[in-house]
Amino acid sequence: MVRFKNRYICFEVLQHNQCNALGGVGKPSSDQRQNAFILSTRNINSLVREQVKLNFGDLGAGHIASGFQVKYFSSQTRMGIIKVPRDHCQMVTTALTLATHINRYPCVVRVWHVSGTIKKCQKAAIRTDRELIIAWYRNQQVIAKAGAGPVAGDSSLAAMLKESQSQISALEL
Amino acid sequence: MEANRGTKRKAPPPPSAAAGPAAHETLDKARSVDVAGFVEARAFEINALQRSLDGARTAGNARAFQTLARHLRRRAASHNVKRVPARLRARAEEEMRKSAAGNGSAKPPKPKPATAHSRYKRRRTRAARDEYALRQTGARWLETHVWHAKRMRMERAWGAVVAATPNERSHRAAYRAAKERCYAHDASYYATLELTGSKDAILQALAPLVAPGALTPAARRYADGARLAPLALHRAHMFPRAALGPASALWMPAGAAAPRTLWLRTHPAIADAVRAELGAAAGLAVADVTGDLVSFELLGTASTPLLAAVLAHTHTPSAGAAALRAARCVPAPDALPEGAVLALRIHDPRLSFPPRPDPAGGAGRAGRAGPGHGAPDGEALRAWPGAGASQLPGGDGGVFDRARCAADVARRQPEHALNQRRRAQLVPGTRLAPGADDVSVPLLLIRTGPEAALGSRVGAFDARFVGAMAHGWTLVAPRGWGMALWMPLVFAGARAQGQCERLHVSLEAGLPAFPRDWPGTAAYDAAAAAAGADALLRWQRRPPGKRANYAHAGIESPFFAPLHRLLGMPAAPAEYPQPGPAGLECRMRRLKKTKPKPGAAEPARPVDSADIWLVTGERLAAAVQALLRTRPSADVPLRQWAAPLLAAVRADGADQPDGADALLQRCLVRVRLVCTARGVPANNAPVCLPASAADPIGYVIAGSFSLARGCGMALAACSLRGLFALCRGSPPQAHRTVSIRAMDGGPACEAALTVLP
Repeated sequence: MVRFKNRYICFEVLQHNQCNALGGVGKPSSDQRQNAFILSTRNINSLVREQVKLNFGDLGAGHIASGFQVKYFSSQTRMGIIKVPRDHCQMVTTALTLATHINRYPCVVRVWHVSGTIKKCQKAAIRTDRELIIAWYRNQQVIAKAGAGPVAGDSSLAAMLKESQSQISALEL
Repeated sequence: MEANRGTKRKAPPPPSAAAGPAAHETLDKARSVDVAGFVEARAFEINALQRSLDGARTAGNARAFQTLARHLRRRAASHNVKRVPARLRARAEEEMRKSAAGNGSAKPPKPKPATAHSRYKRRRTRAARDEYALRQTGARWLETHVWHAKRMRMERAWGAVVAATPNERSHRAAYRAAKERCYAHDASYYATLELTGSKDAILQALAPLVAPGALTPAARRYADGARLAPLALHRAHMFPRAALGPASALWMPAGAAAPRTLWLRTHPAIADAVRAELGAAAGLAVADVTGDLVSFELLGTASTPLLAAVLAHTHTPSAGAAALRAARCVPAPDALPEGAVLALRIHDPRLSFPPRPDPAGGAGRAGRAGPGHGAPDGEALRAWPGAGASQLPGGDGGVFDRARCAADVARRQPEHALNQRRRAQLVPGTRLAPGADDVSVPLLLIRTGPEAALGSRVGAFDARFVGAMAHGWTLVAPRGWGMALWMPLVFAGARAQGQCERLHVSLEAGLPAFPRDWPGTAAYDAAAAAAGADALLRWQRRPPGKRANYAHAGIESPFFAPLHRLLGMPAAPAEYPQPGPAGLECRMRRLKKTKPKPGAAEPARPVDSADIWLVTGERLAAAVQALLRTRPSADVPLRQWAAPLLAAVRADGADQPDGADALLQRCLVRVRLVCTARGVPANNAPVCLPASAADPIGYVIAGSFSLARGCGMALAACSLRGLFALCRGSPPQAHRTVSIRAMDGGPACEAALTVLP
């Protein structure tokens, strides 16, 4: 039995708040919240397929026609894991990087991790989340020290910091 | 794409607050807008991913029934959900549904009409019991047969069906169980003869069968059944020749009443022969009580605490029960005197099934609670087992009272009544309390060891046997209680294996197992012939290009040990298969389609091993061992060198001096060979003098790799003449070395030799 090898790509969709949507939706920037447009796996699916077709043509689209799948996507955190056949992994990451809009909303796709098993991708997602939380909290501390504005977040996060650091290092093993 | 494949993609560096907050300010601001949602969303995602990771270990990789331990899966369960334990059934059902959904082509199962039974099903008997009874023509089933049949390959031997080997690969597990934990063996196929008569009549009947002067059941230590007496039986008046095999004798504790009873436990292979030898005695009634008893053998370090836990619920307090309780914390069974007999009477074991690990220090899982739990009671153990431990109080006959035992079995509560009582319990799982209608079970617990296997007392040799593997317990119970006692033993952690593993365990312990390791007995001839024929058939089935070429390796008799030829006896027994030149000749004749020349074929002669003198007993073995330490000069004849041995035999009241030469000619000594370097001895390999390709001095009877010693080891039979040549050839030393030829023509392996009693 020949093994069909895959790659799992862990990525995040980042959306700029500043830019207006192309095509003129016409909403003022203050109302434009990050969660104005709720993404789903269907959106990601069509995004990747469109981008691949756009950049790599019919041949590229044919390559990933059967093997591509969105394994996980969370609209809250914008983190997702997609599965692609190993031979076309580079093509799909390129297509993701070149994506500028998703359903006419401007966005940037950031690829966090590529691996051969979904387990490692899940671990990478967990690690990234933790690091983001830590970085965000540190940022809040910096802002608070500079007196720039109200400090957001609990003081209990301080304890969570230490725990997360040790857990991240445990994940690395 | 290809260029990058080799390099591992490094994880991108985490966004750090120190590296320019201005650069990521926009993004961070974007994140910081939705404060409440950000951290929570991320934390939720982390939890969800972690949960899926933890559950994914077995969800996709293994089916529900595959997560079970090997010994809990006995049936193929992929097609029948009911074969999976209840706690996994829901999961198994879902998996089956999913796989059925995956197979688009799977048809829904057709409903079967009620009358569409196969012919077999229609003709079945009403009760499984009747069917089982029908199947037992020719060989009887032991009480634990069905349990063994589900887990092991069974074979017909000695008029019973016994387990040969388990279905799972467990050679090393069996060894570990016998060494460190508990190894259980259903020995109910052992024959027991009941001799009833006056004490003198019994002893007189036994006297011709044993070595004169040897310790007989007449000795004081065996009186009243306090100890089991080991015996080595010979044909009447033919000592030291014509050995029959080992046996054990147990007196029934008697009151003032005159007729005494002696139980003679022998291997079933010699039961008929012994009965025939005893038959002529007057004033004696010999009865076969094999069918009225069940017996289980337990070996291993943890066997004592396990037994103490399983048999904890005694019905009548007795010295035997107290002795068992006191023995619980002894580290290993070999610390307790061998042959000691304890008599107990316990409540119906089914009431307290399944056994629970005793928090006070028993053994639920054998080996887990461990031996030596709790401080040994020095006072109780000094005189262990103490007076009267082999007797039940109040004139209770115990296992010997067969009438009462049969009556008890008939009136005991049936299983469904017990189940009703269990259902009526308030808290499910509570053990049943014995009531007025419940019966009790008498038991005999015998501390067995090398004595029973060797047929004689052992003193100094004991230290060399590998610890707990040679020592253990035998549990003797009345008929009908087989399964009721077996299941608690197994649930408490005893490991059951088959005959093959039992033989290997005795080889590891360095003990000869009957009948495989008793050359010179009729039972050995039969067993070796059967094994040899089997091996020859298997050899012949292989194509000539792929089978072992024994002729090329110079092995004349690879399938049986030609001990008759070794001892210079007339001819190799005709029923032993001959793969050597004679066999080849047959084949050539068949190819050429010629008839054999008249008179060329060997006449079929019956096997007669009665002439062989097999050295048994510690005294004779010690004499031979002492002889091995000498170096006779070239002019000393065999008779002179072996004079101490002859003296020892004559002291036992043996033959006249003029038969000494003939006797020595036929003398066979069993030895234990432990390889000093690489190499594992094979069965029937010739044992030769070291660094010499001369005639062999003996043959390997059982050879294997010893897990206990970490090297090859064998049990071999050498002729006394061969040992004489060995001593002549080299200077006296503590351990003689021999070389064992390899069956494939490779290098021989050197081994150290020790005499076995």
